[in-house]
This record gives sequence, C-alpha cells and structure tokens, in this order.
Amino acid sequence: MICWKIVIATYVILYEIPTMGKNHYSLSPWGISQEKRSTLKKPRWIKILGEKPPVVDLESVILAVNCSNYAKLSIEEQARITGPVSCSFFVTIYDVVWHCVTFCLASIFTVAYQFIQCSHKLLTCNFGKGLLFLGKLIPYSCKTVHVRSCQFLYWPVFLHKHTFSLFPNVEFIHRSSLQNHLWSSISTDLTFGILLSIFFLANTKPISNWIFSICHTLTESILRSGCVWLMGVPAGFKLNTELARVLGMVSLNMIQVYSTIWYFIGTSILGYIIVAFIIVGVVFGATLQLALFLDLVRLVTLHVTSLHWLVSVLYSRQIQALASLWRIFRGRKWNPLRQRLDSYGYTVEQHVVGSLIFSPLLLLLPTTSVFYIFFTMLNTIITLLCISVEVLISLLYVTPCYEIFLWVLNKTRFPSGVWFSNVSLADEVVVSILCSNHAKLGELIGPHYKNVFSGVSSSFAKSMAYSVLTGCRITSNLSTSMPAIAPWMKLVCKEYWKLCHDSILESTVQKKRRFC
Amino acid sequence: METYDQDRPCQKWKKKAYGGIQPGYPDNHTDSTFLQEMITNANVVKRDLSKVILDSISISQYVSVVSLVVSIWTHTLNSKIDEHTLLKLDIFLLALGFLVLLVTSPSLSLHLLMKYFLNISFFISGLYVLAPIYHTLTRSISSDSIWALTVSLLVIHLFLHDYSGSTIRPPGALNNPKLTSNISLNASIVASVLIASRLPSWLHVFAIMLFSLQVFLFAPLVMFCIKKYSFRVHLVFSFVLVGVTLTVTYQLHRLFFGTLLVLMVFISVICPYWLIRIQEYKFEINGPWDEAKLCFDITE
Repeated sequence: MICWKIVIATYVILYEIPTMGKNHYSLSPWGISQEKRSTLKKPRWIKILGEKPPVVDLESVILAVNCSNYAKLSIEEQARITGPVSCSFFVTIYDVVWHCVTFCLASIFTVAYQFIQCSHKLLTCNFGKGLLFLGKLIPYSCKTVHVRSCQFLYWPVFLHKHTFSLFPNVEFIHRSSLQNHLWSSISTDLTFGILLSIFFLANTKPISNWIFSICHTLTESILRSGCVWLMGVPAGFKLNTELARVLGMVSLNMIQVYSTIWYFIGTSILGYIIVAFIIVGVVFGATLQLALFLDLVRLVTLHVTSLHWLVSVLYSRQIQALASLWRIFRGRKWNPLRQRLDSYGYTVEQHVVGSLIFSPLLLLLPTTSVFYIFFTMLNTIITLLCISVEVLISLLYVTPCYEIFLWVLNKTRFPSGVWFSNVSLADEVVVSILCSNHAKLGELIGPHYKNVFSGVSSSFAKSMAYSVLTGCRITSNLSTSMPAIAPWMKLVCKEYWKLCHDSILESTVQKKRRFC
Repeated sequence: METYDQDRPCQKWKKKAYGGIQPGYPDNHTDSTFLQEMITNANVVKRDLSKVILDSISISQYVSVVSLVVSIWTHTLNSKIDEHTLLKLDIFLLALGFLVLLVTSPSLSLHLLMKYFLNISFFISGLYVLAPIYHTLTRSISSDSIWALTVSLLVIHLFLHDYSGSTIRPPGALNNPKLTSNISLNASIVASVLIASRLPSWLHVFAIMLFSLQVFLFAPLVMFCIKKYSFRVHLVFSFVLVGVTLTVTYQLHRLFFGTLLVLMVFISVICPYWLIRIQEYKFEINGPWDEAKLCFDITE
C-alpha cells in the first residue's frame, strides 16, 4: 500500500452560497436532532484523527458558511428602507379602514375561540348533560372537530412568525419554516375530503344499497346463524343444552331488537348521513369523515360489543370461582397483600359448599367458553377495524406534506452531511467542491411516525392476549397520540384578541413597506 | 496423631458447642457420657394383636358403609328403588342419627341442637335449589367416563379418610380436621354429584344427593359417638353392619361381594398380624437434640 504524504500550501474549496429557499449545509444526518449530534458514535479512524491537534473546527465553519449570505442581503434591505416614504391622504384613510377591519376580524375570531373552548369543556366535563351525551356518543368526531378548529385558529401565530423575515442562519430559517406545516396538512386533508365527497356525491344510490346489503348479510349469515349453530352441536362439542339454549336465546333476542331498531332508523336517515359526510368532507377534511365513519361503526355494532361484555363477565367470573375453589381443595388461600398463596384451614362447611358448587361450574365451563370464543372473535374483528381507521387518522394528521412537497421540488434543502469531491490536484494547490448529501424520504417521515406510536406500549399484543384468555375487558383503542393541545389554545381571550390584532397590523405594515 | 495419646494435658474435655478444638483431644473425641440421654422408641405404643384386630373393626365398618351406599346407588340407577322410598329412607336415617346423638352424647344443649337443625335446613334447601342444575349436568359425558371417575373418587375417599376421629366434629371436640380428611370429603361429594346427575328426574336427584351426603357427612360422627359411648355396642353394631352389607352385595353382584369379603379379611386379620410382625423392627431415637415441638392441643 502506498502512503501519500502531501504537504499542502493552499486548499481551495468551492461551494454554492446557501440562500434562503434554496439550500444550506449540515454536518449530521437529517433526522438527528440537535441534542443527539454530540452523542453520535464516530468510527475509529475519526477518533485516531481526532487525537491529532485539530486544525479547523468544522461545526463553526459550516455555521459561518450558512450565514455568509446575510451581509449581502441586509445591505440591500437597508438600501430599500431608506427610500422615501410617501404619506398621502389616501394612505391615512386606508389606514383607518384597515384598522376597523382588523378590529372586526379580531373580535369575530375571538368569539369563535371562546365558543370552541366552552364547547370543549362542556363535552368533556360533567356539566351540560345533553352535550355530554353527544360527547360520549361520537367521541372521535368531537375530538377531531376540536383539533381541526384549534388548527384553524392558528393563523394569527402563523402570521406573527412570518413577519420576522431576516435571520442570519439560513439553516435556522429553513428548519423553522418546516415547523409551520399545519396549513399543509389541513390542505391535504381538505383535498382528500373533497375527493371523497365527490365520490360519494356521484355514487349515492349504489353506496346506500351496498351498505344495506352488507348489514343484512352480516346480521343474517354471521350473527344469527352463528348463534343458532352454537345452540346445537357446534364443531362436535356436546354442550349443556339448557345453558346453551338460555345464552343463545338471550343473544338472538338482543340481536333481533337492535337490528330492527337500526333498520328503521337507517332507512330514514341514511340519505342524511351521506349528505352530512359530503358536507363534512368539504368543510373539515378527510379526517373528520374517517372519524364519523369510526363512530358510526361503533354505534352500529353496539349489540355485538355488549353481548361480548356480558359473556366475558360470565366467563371471567366462572374462571375466577374455579381457581378459588381449586385453592380451597388444596388448603390454600390467595394473599392479595403479599401476592402469594398462603396455607389456610377452611371449615368443613366451607369445604362442603365448595365441592357442591365446584362440579357444576367445572362441567358448565365448555358451554360458556364456546360462546365466549365466538363473541370474542367478532369483537376482535371490529376492534381491529377501529384500530386501523384510528391509525389512518393519526397518520393523516402527522404526515409532513409540506416537507415532502419541498423535498420533491428541491432536495438540497434537506442536507445530510458534507463531502468534498476533488477537482484538481496540482503542485501545491488542491481544488475541491463542497457537496452535500440529501436526506431520503424515510429519514424525513420516520421521526413523525415514531412519535405517533410512542404512546403505544410495546406489550400491547401480550396484554391483549392475556385479557382475552382470562375474560377481562379488552382495550378497544390503540391510544396513538393525537396532535397535542395546541399551545395557542391556552391563551386568555384578551391575549388572543391582541394577538390577532397585532399580527394582521404587522403583516400589512410589512406589505406597505414593500409596496411604497 | 499417636503423640496425642501419650500426651494428656491437665484440661478435662468439656462438652461444648463453641470454642474450637480443645487442645490434647481430637476434634471428634467422645467421652463416656456420649448418648446417655438418648431415648429409644419413646412414643412407640406397645401393641397387642387382639387389640389391633378390634381397632381395625372401625375401618371395615366404614368400608361396609360405603359399599352399602354404592349398592343403593346401583339399585336406584337400575330403577329398582323409586324416589319416594328414597325420601322416606332419608328421613328415617336423619331421625335415627339424631336419636343416637341424643342418647350417646352427654352434653347436648338445646342451643347446640338448634344450631345443628339450622345447618341441616340450610343444607336441605340448598340441595333442593341445586337439584335441577345437577339433573342435566353430565348428559353430554359418556357413562363409562362417569363410572370410572366415580370409582377413582371413592378410592381416593377411602384412602384419605380420617378413621381415628370424624371430620365433622362432635360437640366438645379437639383437633381441627386435617387437610386429607377434607379432601376425602370433597371427593365423596363430587362422586355423589356425578352419580346423581345420571338419574331420570330431579326429585330422584334430590333424594339420592340427600342420602349420599347424609351418609358421608354424618355417619362417621354417629359412629364416633357410639364408639365413645360403649365399646361393646360399637362391636355389635359393626358386626351387624358388616353382615347386612355382605348379604346385600351378595344379591347384587358376585364379583363385588367377593372383592369386599377379601378386603375385609385383609383389613381385619392380615394387616394386624403384619403390623405386629414388623413392629419389632421399629427403632426411634429421641434426645435433647430434637427440635422443640409446639403444643396446640390444649383444651380450654
């Protein structure tokens, strides 16, 4: 291996000036945040190099490169501002009118802000009973409406931030502009919503027919025939006929009552529901349509859910009683304080009653478990459907459309490390070009999606399996994190009014400056 | 090591637990008072063959009681006994049991009698409520499994039964029932539930459950009271019972009768002889090194 030992006199590096809206440079990969940069694991040869006395500190060099355009821009800006400002009569009238308009707009939006705060409190607290019922009936839609309204009320903060135009560090400007992606997610949401609404508008009749036939098929062939099958000899199991008959009749009656109610309600209001879907899609977007769909599915399958709850209570109590009686036979007792089994002397009466109850419970267990398995399977299918729609809604909220859009247009705005490409290697002058890598799509979207699932516990599947086996309540939502409570919603009404007022005024002052 | 024999120092060897090696003696030195306080066979009871045979009568008595119950079950399952006869039998047995208790037990206050009466009425009403459930419990299980299960449960019951006392305590009794006696009680109850679920109507179920539970729960108590009252009455009663059982089983099933006879001879004659024979090999040692035993058997 040949070792090159070059003593260099001049080292010329060519680079493209980082300008706002075009590109900037960064040393670390895109997805890594500021705090994690220092803890990155470096390869061994970098450590060996690092032991040599450092010639140049790359971090500050890149910082200086990013700020190199500022001087030129600020001089131009100063030249612009020192131009003559013409005050005319029309400008003052325009000022007054605009002040009035600002006042009215700010008041309207403050009223809307207060209305949203109050309704949110009423829906989630215990005061207004009527509204609380609505909040419990369609929880997802209420949450989605609340989140979207908060996002609509974000515009003064957005305007306020955008009035700071000049800042030296191009990297900082680029990164902070990516924070304001709310309007992009709202617009993609609205686009999807409008597309869905057009689809619904075009095919109203076939969709309603399809919904009716699906409901009919599901009720008849799955629910009813399933219950009748269980009352007979399902899969060769010989069940206790009395108990199977009782459980089967209860479930059949409940299914009959509920589906009759829904049939009558559905025939009358299905048209209105589809119209509501269309309007909601145009006004609020696809997330609210999906949330409404989720809530409707929950309401329609209420009979399956409640039957499952009944049978699981029966099953879990039976299992617990059997376990406790088995412990009596062994002369042991469960100590809940120490979470262990202690030996205990039961009286003879307790033993007699225990064995008299043990035999019927044990011999009736197959019947109960067959019904339990059937209803658990149905309930799990419904839960999985709800979970997948919920995940879809969270992903819609969180996908950074603005970033993806910019990435597609201009990859150089997302730098992910620098490297030098040598152009010429003359006697004592080395010329190289500073190039930067750009981030891939996965690195862009990954952290956002990871945040969504950060609330989900890792042993979700295990806890769900355990609760199915012992007959406990299954959690029916994944608890993925919805967008957090917006910080601007914590303002008092007066401050919010001031914010609206100031932001509108400042943006018009800026525009006037550019105009004059 | 030989040098130590000649070299006996002035210090006498002391028996102590701590202190290390005493100089001049090896570590495992023992003197003449070694094992002086050992007591051999302190708790061993000297047994006499005739006494053992007489005591084994209670075991054969209980085995015959269980065989009587099994024969009544078989007759009921073959529809030879109807439910009204069974109910009359139950009432008769209950009255008889109470009579015996009254006669043999010296201290039987009215309060205790009322307590017994209350327990029995709870018990009967509980069985009345549960009888329809038991009626259809094992319809889906084949008969062979039921017979096999019943026989194994009865064997467990006989094996773990407390022959020395009675699980249900007579008035003024001492020890708590042990776990094995409770397990044997549970086994007998589950066996009677299994048999009862094979019967045609729920009144049958109620009658047979009442009968089996009366016998399994209260027969040991009655016999214990008789034995405490007078040994001769107890002997006569046992012989009569064994004789009745053998006649009944002879009419029922020859093989069952043969097994029962062999079992009784084995329990009454062969086992006592065997016990006496191997008693002479018993060697128990106790001494001051034993752990202290706590004494719970103090009566108030």
